[in-house]
Amino acid sequence: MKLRVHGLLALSGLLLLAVFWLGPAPVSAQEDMVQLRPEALQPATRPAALFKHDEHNEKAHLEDQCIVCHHSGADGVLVADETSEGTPCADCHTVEKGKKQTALRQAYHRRCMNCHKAKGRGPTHCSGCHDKRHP
Amino acid sequence: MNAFYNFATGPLAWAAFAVFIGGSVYRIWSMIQLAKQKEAAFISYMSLPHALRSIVRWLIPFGTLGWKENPSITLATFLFHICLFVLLIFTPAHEVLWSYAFGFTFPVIPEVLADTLTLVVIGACCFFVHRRLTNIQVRYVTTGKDWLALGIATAPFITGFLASQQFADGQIMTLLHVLCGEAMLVAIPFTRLSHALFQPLTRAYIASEFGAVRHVQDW
Ligand code: HEC
Ligand code: HEC
Ligand code: HEC
Ligand code: HEC
Repeated sequence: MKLRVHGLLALSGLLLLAVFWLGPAPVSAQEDMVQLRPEALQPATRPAALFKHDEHNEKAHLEDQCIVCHHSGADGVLVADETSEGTPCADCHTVEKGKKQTALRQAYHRRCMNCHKAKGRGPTHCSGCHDKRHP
Repeated sequence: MNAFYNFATGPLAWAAFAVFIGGSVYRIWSMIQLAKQKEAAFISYMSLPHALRSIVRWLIPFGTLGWKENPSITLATFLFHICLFVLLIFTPAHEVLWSYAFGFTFPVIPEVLADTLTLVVIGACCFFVHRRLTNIQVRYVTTGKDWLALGIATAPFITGFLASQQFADGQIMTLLHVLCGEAMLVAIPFTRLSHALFQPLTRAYIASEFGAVRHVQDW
């Protein structure tokens, strides 16, 4: 009898653990951004650009400069000091170039590569970001 | 490595374009001066309609007697040049660079087609090498300058193909591809590759003499 109770306890414990592990696991994997693959640029022609959001910004000392990437504005004019964390780039930058709006692919390339060039750190060759080894 | 890559794709690229354009203008200008000095009488016979007709004619594969004479070299020559221009302009990664740097976009060919055409060009170059080595007449007139021109023309395609396959870490081949492309730009005015500049002038000269003076076709 005692053995049975122990067995049941162990089983339910395992079940609980399984639910705990399997349930939130995919969610936390989603939260850890490792690459960029915006819906708007599908079907893609290259491997998704590598971008480990938090690790990248820590290494590049950008934790207090979210606005460098998450800026804000409309009608071709940026609004200083207003950020847009959580708003996808594609919400403002359309795939086709607008009259006053930088096109989406270009917006990514300019933001990412221009800083890498200026700092002399971070990849500027295609496969440095679009890496077949990490598709 | 990053610093050198950024230098090669930045200042060095501008320098290569400047030498290419400046050198080409200088070479064409000095050739025209030379023609004026040595063949002043002939300049007056230059005939644009005859020149254009002949140039168009020679741009058609097998469109002239000269092209019909040796079909394999004709085929290799046309494949090489057509693929060269198509790849130069319509390779997907080249369009990305234009839009990144200057903001304009245009249609491109699919990645697999670009890779295939690159292999066609490399195949044509192998044919040219083989011919220079095995055809006794061609071998006899071949000099170091011919090998240099052929090498400079082939290198961007070999490195370009390897870069698109992401050879090793990807950076080294992309860097070599950029450097080879810049070497080709610089070499066009100053090596055998100058036929790219002078071929239209040569054709115009011959066509005008044949057409306007002797009243015969030059094809
Ligand atoms: C180097 C550029 C860059 C910097 C700096 C940056 N981000 Fe981001 N962030 C991105 C990109 C790119 C995305 C994806 C958006 C897209 O592709 O549309 C993103 C997405 C996000 C998202 C949405 C997350 C998700 O899973 O969709 C949040 C929230 C965010 N960033 C917050 C921040 C905060 C807070 C900071 C400052 C500490 C910051 N970012 C700094 C580039 C950056
Ligand atoms: C709330 C709208 C909005 C969002 C979200 C947004 N942008 Fe922008 N962005 C603008 C506006 C407005 C401009 C100025 C007009 C232009 O050049 O397109 C601009 C300009 C730019 C430029 C050109 C700036 C320059 O200096 O020439 C780049 C590059 C850029 N954005 C990249 C990004 C990236 C990368 C993201 C996502 C991480 C992003 N933007 C998200 C509104 C936005
Ligand atoms: C404001 C400057 C800045 C911007 C904007 C920026 N980066 Fe970076 N990035 C850096 C720096 C600095 C490094 C080098 C970090 C280090 O020391 O490893 C780097 C490194 C990288 C690396 C290599 C990471 C590694 O582990 O070696 C990748 C990939 C990368 N960046 C992608 C991106 C992408 C994609 C974007 C655009 C969404 C972007 N970066 C925007 C500054 C920037
Ligand atoms: C610093 C990082 C970085 C570098 C270097 C870089 N890109 Fe990108 N690229 C991006 C980001 C970020 C996106 C948007 C996310 C995505 O679609 O991968 C993108 C998107 C693209 C897209 C549209 C999406 C697709 O796959 O069809 C193409 C095409 C592209 N890049 C080609 C290139 C080429 C060619 C080069 C080299 C000349 C290059 N990129 C260099 C970061 C980079």
